[in-house]
Amino acid sequence: MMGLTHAAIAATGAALLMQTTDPLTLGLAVIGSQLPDLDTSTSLIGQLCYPISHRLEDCYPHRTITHSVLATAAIALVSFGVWFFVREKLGFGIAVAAALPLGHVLSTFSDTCTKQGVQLFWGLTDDPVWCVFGMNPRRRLRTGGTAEYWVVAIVVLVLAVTLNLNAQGGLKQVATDKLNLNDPTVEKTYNESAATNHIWATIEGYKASDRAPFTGRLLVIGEESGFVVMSEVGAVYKIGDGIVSEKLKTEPGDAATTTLSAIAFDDEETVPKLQQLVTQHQGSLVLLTGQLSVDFAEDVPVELQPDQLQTLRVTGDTVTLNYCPIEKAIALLNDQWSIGQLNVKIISPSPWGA
Amino acid sequence: MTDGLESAIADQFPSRQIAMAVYRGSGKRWFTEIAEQLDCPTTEPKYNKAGEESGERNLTMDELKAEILHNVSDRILFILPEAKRLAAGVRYWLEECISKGATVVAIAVVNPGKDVFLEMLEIELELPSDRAIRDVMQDEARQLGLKLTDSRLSELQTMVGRNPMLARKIIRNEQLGLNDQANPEHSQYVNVAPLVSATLLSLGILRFVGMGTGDRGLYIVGGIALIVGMMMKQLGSIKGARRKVGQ
Repeated sequence: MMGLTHAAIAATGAALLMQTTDPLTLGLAVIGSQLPDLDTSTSLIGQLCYPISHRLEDCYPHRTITHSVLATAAIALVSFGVWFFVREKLGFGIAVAAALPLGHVLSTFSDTCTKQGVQLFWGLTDDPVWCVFGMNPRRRLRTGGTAEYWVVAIVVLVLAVTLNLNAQGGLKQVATDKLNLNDPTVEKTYNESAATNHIWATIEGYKASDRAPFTGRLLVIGEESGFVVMSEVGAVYKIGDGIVSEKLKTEPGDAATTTLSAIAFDDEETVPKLQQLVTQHQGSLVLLTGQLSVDFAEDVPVELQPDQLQTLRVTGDTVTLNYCPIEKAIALLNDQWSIGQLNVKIISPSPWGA
Repeated sequence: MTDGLESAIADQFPSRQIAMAVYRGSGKRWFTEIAEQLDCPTTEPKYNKAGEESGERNLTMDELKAEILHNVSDRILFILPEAKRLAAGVRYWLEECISKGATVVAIAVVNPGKDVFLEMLEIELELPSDRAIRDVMQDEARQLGLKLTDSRLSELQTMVGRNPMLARKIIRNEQLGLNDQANPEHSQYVNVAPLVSATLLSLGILRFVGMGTGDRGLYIVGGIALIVGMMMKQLGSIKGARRKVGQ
């Protein structure tokens, strides 16, 4: 196979198996994928290491000594040996050490799909045996043939999808979030008890932005293809968006009622009407969702909190609220006149008191 | 690579009377060669109607067989290269020779596994080394006046395995420019597709571990591995016509 094909397969394989987007890991896998072709001076790596490749091609047929599991073992030995001594100094994880041999083994196995095959067990058996993938050589790939370019195209496509998935927390997380594969008992607790009790979510995971650990027991305030949860200090998160959960457990808390209502603004001052709501629902948690057109949108201070759900954002003259605590809305929309309608979710009583 | 093998065998038995011949399609010629090496007569006097000797005539094939057989003893060693070619009549005659004490060394690329060959001990020779195959390729290239780099020789060697006949053929094909679309013809290969499929299918166990432990990661990875393994198994069973156009 061509060096390009090996590089694409190794990068894709490493990204899939290690669920990583780390350039160092993927780069080492790509380098590892080129090492088998050290036995021919026509390859890129062979030209870079000409004395070695010339010596090898003089002594051995192509795809023998450097394409064997014995070579993979030797590379693994060196790779893990170096990693063992530098891991603490440079802070490398074990994935970095595994990338080089992984790239090599993927490369040698992919060469079994070519017409000639490879001697995977070179040095381990008395009789040489060429390992091929599929009995009929006509059905296998010819190096540089049209079929190989199709393989490159498909593998690069898979690589792009894999990197995209990995950036969102990996296949497992995306499948869990997008396909709604959450533990059914988690959903069941919420569906059965949300109208009559506080629902608490115990979360173990990490933040999507910097992968910092994230643990806590938060109040579930909504469900939109993933739970929307709120901390005692008023921070709102969405599980599966800003927060990647490894473990999620829900349990009902104290008795509470959840009611929904709507409030409309017809070119009138916003805050008095919101304060009226607060007065009506003393000791309750009031959350606002909807859009308002305001006169001086540029005066609305917007704070961007990484990993948190943006509960209030401004686009042009429009202020969009999404599970925004009413106290926050009052503070940010002071002196604004507005037109629009908001949905009001009232959880009574508030789990944290007035 | 049997060049010199016959003489090497002969050297091992200096006290034996050795007969060595390659069957080339003519039984009478083959028996004549054998008879000459064993100092058996291949002609007899010819007589005219008056009963006077009027020259010589060659023995017929049956007469040659009988004459050689008459002279066979346990001192005789037959060395027969390309033994796979031997015709049925020759093979049956060899059985009689063996029964009279002669030793027969038959050299062939494969054991035909019938009649006289069933009575023989089989010794499989070691395959030639990669170096020996490379030497054969270089010799052939030299004879054809072809200049090939080590890199090209190394690449072509993947097509011939350890078969010296194929090694010569691939060089002749290289001269004719036939190697670009060529397929390997050697039989020293093993199909690893079932190994890869089985490995992927075995990862399906993770699916059940995931189900048992509530680990969705294992559940998903195991499920994907299982499906990919089954897909590969099915894709591997795609078959097309094995015959070439015109067959």
